[in-house]
This record gives sequence, structure tokens and C-alpha cells, in this order.
Amino acid sequence: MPVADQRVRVTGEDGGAAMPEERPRAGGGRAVDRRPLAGLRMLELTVAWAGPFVGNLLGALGMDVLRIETVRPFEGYRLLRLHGDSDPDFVAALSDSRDWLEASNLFCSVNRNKRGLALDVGGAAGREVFLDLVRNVDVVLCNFTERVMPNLGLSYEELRAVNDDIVLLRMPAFGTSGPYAHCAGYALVVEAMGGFAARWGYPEEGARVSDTYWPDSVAGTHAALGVLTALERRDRTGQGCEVDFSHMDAMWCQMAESIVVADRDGRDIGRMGNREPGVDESGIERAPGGGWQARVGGRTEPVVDALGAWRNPELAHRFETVRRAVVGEVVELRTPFVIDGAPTTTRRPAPLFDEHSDEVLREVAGYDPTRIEALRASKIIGGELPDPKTMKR
Amino acid sequence: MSTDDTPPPGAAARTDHGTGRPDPAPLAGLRVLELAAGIAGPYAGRLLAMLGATVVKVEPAGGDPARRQPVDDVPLAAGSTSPLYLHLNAGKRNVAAADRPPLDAFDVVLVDRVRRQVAGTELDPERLRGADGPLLVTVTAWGFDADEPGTIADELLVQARSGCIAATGNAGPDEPPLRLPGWQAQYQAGATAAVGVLAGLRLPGVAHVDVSWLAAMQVGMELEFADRLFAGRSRPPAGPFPPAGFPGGALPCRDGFVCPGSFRDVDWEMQSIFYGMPELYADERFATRAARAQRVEELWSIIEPWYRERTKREIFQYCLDSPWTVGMVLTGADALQDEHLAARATIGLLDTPDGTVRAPVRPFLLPGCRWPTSGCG
Repeated sequence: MPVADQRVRVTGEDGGAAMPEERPRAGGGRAVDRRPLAGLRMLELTVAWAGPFVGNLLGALGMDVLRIETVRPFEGYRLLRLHGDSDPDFVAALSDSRDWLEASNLFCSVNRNKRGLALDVGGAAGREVFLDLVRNVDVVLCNFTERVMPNLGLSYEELRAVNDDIVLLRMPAFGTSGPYAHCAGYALVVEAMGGFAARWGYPEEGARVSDTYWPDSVAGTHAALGVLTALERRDRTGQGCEVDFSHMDAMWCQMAESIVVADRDGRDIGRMGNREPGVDESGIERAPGGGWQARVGGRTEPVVDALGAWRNPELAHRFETVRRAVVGEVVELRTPFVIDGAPTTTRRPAPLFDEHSDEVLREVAGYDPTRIEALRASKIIGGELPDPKTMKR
Repeated sequence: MSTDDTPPPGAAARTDHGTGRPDPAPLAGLRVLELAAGIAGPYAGRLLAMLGATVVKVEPAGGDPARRQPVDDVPLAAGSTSPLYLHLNAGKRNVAAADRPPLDAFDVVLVDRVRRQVAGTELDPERLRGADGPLLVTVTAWGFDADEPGTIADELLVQARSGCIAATGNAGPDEPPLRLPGWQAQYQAGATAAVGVLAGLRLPGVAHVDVSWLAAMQVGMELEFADRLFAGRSRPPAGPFPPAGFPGGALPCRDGFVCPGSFRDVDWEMQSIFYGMPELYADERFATRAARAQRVEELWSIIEPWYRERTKREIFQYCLDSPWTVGMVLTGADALQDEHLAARATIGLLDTPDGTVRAPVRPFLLPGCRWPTSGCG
């Protein structure tokens, strides 16, 4: 039997304090909307996956996520692994058109549940528009390298000057403080620096990295927690704050036993290949009907790919069909939450470039049509993505 | 007993916007009951505890199996506690089932049981709905409606069924997929459940948020699903040197391994200079990622001596001094010595039944997280 109060304390922390007083809590009754973050709004200035992951997750939960894109540089994910790569007719139909840049399967997946603005924040006029949006949002999220926001004149102090309880979360690979903060990093670099690579692979190997970009989703999930933690704090104290988020820290939280073993036992954890620690008979083997199956003791599961998971009727609730301009209907993975028995579904498909600029400036910044038209004429908002014919692919 | 506000040597506690008072922990006042064992539920509780929530843990009869969970082939020493348990349960109050406060003393209850196990009990979501009780957050392997909640050893089975690991492993028809290391599905589910806690609390009337390891793992591999479901194609395993950006993979150097980043043009430009072969940058055989992917062995034979002669720290110094990005493959022992983790005070001390050990003590920095050295507004 466990020994009562045989707890693990963090040194310097008083874990023995009495239970906190009761928190104010809303009364019971059925919620009429199972989007618990409805009413909150976030400006997202992100690229690639880790940053967009945050908005996709929080947007599905009801947050109004406003994704800002620029023409130069434009979001590289718009080029990656295009929908229909295996369909020559589809490729031929789009490759000479700017629709090519609206058809990226990766971009469309990771940017669901957002509205999209095309805004050049690099100049004074664009910065002013950005700050007008900041006045009416709860959160600003950015995953550029550490120096970008200050260089744009969009430091936390500058945001706070127009919205004193704003929450800013910046998430460069190594965070915004510490000796590596200025360095860029990719997922595989974070796999190396976060303890993943040292433990991945077979016992005879030295280390291995993947091309799954796993640390991006680890970072994205923990950054979503960072956003909600800062909002919780804001609601209680009335104060916003800046969250300094490092992908490396988050990855180590999920590999933390490596640090404990190194410190306590003076050794590194061994690579296990496909075996489960502590289980005599475990691993991946040939399945009787072909393919591979995982075995843990007397239990087995087929190893399937994403298509196999989609075809499994037991997992049908994990998928949904989303209709989007240019690409039409596509099957998407659902977000991981089931709230009061209902899975969280996609609220809206990924935005087309510049799709919601006018709507958001009118609604969030309070601009009138004349002002919006002037911004468009001066290319502060809007613009055209590059012509695919001119691009090296 | 030391207090909440005691900073470690050399690190000052941040104060509350000039008032002179220490900032309260961000989730101070949040009361969480953890009726969960293993990894996923306790990791959700651990994250909330790191951020200041009061987490009361009640272990199942027989104790949390994570206490005895080996992390590799080395058996736990007699009488010692698994490093997993020490990390996952730091900062929580641990009470016997008979001594735990009633359910309505909590804002959240974290549970690792499926529907059939809680049906008709005080944890039945049908009973909690409409009552002024805690938010129920369930975290199980396959989902709340599955037959079984899962055990720690189900990690491999979840990774297999999720659809996530088919594209991992070595290339070749006789090479099996390769499980991600540690317990990534369970950790990811724990982090997702912590998000579910703070989201669910924001909407009056939400009674139950459910997260499965399988769903969390799938979302963590969203790009795989995007690629395959949209394009209807399968990607063969890439092996240890992902061709999407070579030089890449874990490359051996003098004292270990490094992982170069080679996605941007500037990455390759910088490398060619550092290798002392600027002509490589203009060499058509290697000028693009696609070209380099076709000549991995040829290129590696050219640059291997450069890596073999240098330590991972020497190579990482190029990352610190230039736009190139490269990572050192850090082990747990390396992490304990790493200057960046030290400067951010990512790793702290835990007082455990086995003595004092070091482990990560927070997932990010914000005011009120303990002992920030910088970066908190």
C-alpha cells in the first residue's frame, strides 16, 4: 500500500500548505455551447507547424484565432506536400495558378479553426494596424526567432502600452532567454537538444532523429497550456504577461526520466528499439496476414499507417470531412478533446490568403470601409502571393 | 520547511510589478484531485502542479505502478522508486484514499478510468453534469468508452494502432516500424489533458473532458495524416538520415552525435563555409535539398572527417555564432550540465523518498513560476 503523504516535493516549495479556499465557480446546468474558449481572441503571427498547432487546438475549442500572413516572406508551408500530388490532372490544373498555394495539405490541416489576414507588419503603417488589433485581443502568439518581434517594434512592452493586460507568448526553439535564445531551430534539432534523439533507436545505435516533427506538436501542446495558464493568471490578477516558451524545455519535460536517472544513478537510459521496458515479450513482428503487428505480452495490435487508422471503423470518430475552397472536401483528423460526450469538430477550414482581412479589420480594429480600402490600395493589407511559375519547387 | 518564495542560489524571485510582493504562482488556488496512476494522468497533474495548482494524489490499491516501472533493461534497485514516478509526482500532496477530502472540495478531478469503471459512482459524468461539482477530466489509452483504461505497457500498442509509426524506422521491406522513445503517447495525452483542464474550467456547465493517448498521439502526428489522407499516398520509412534535409540525421562526431539543420538555403551556405569547401554551395550535385537527398553517401564521405574531428560542443558553437542551426544530441547527463537549461532554471531539485534528485520543474517561464532568471514580464 502507498504510504500516505509519501510525496515528492520540489525543493523550496511548501507542498504542505492547507487546501486553498474554494474558487468562485459557475453554477451547474448544461452548457449550450461546448466551445469553452468562445469569447477569447488571439492574434497568431506564426509559420510552419509548432506555432500554428496552438491556434488550431485553441481555435477548435472556440477561441477566435486571427492568423496574420505576409506576402514577403510568405508561409512556406503553403508549398509543402500539395494535395493531389499523386493525381497528375490535379497538379496540372493548379500548378500554373496561385491556387497552387491554397492547396497545400499541410497548411490546410494545421491552420483550421482560424480566420486569415494578409497584413504587412514590417512598416510603420502595418505596425499601427497590428497594434489596433492588439487593443481588442486577449493573446498574441508568435513563433519567430527571438529578435523578430522586438525588431518589428512589437515587444511585450510595446504591446502592453496599447493593451495593458495582453498575454504574449513567444516560442522560438530555445525560448526568448538564455544563451541559445538567439538560435533558430527545427524539430530535428529539438529532438537532439531535448533528449529524444539520444534515446530513439536500437540498442546498437548511438542516436537517431526522425522526420516526424514530433517536437513541434509537443511544443504546440505545451504552448497552448502556456496561453491558458497566462489567461487564468490574468483573470485572477488582472495582469497580462509574457510567456517565454522554449521547445527544448517542453521536450525535456517529456523525456525527464533521462535527467533523473543521470542524476541519481549516474547513467544514461538505454535505447530499447521496439521493446516495452519491463515486458519480457514485446516488440514489432510480422503479422500473420502480412504487414507488421505490435506485441506486448499476449496482446497484439496491427501497425497501421494514417490511411489504415482512417479505415478502422472503431476510429471513425477521430475523423471528419471538411469542405474548403480550391481543394473541395477533404478528410481531416479531429482535435483530441471529447467534451461532454461530443468530439470537438473543425469550426472552419484553413483560411485562404487574405480571406478575412476586411472582416477582421472592421470587426476587431473598428476600421471603416474607406480606411480599409486605403490600406489595400497601399498594399499594407492584401497583396498577391508569388506566381508559382516563378518559384523553384 | 522552506517556503514557496525561496529562490535557488543566484536566482532572484520575480516580484509583482514593483509591489515588492512575490508574484503568486499562475495557477495558485486551483484544486485538483488526481485519481490517476501511470504516466498520462499524473503528467497532467504534474504540469498543473508545476504551475502552482494544489494537486492531491490518491494512489490505487497496491500503489501507483509507475513507482516500479523500469525505464530500460536495467532493473530498479531494491527499494528504489522509478525515476518516472519521481518526475511525474513531484509537488503533489499524496493522501490515502480514506483521508482524501470530498469531491466537492476540488475544481478538477483527473481520472484514468473508463466509463464502465465509474458508472454509478460519484465519478460518473452523468452525475457530475448539472451538479456543482468538479470538472471531470479522463485520460485513458483508447478513450472513455473503451473496455479497458490501459496500462503503461500499452504504449507500443497505442503507437501501432494510432497510425503514427508506420513511416518510422529503417528503409526496406524487412525493416519494421520503430516505436518513438519513452512514453510519448502517454506524455502527450497528459499535456493535452492539462490543456483540457484549463479550457473546460472556462465554460460553466462543462462536466467532462475526455482525452485518449491515441487521439493525442494522432494529433501529435498531424502532418502524417495530412499527407496521407489528402494525397492518398504512403511514404516509405526514411531511415536514420531523413532525406528531406541532408546533411541531417544524427551524425557521429568526436564525442557523440550532432543533428545539422539543412532546410534553408542559408543552412547549406553556412555549412559549406565551415567545412572549408565553399565550392560545395555552388556545386550542382549538392545545391538543393532534393539534389543532396540523391547523394547522401557521396556527400557524407566528403564531410565526415570534419564532423569526426570536432566535439558536439565545438560544432554547436557554429550555431551560436552564425545563422546555421545544428543541435547537439544531449543525454540526461548532458542536460544536467547544459548552460542554457541552467540559465533558464528549467531543471530543479526534488526532495524524494530516495533523496534529492534533479528533474525539469516547469514547462515554460512566466511571472510567478518559481525562480525565473529572466524573460518573465
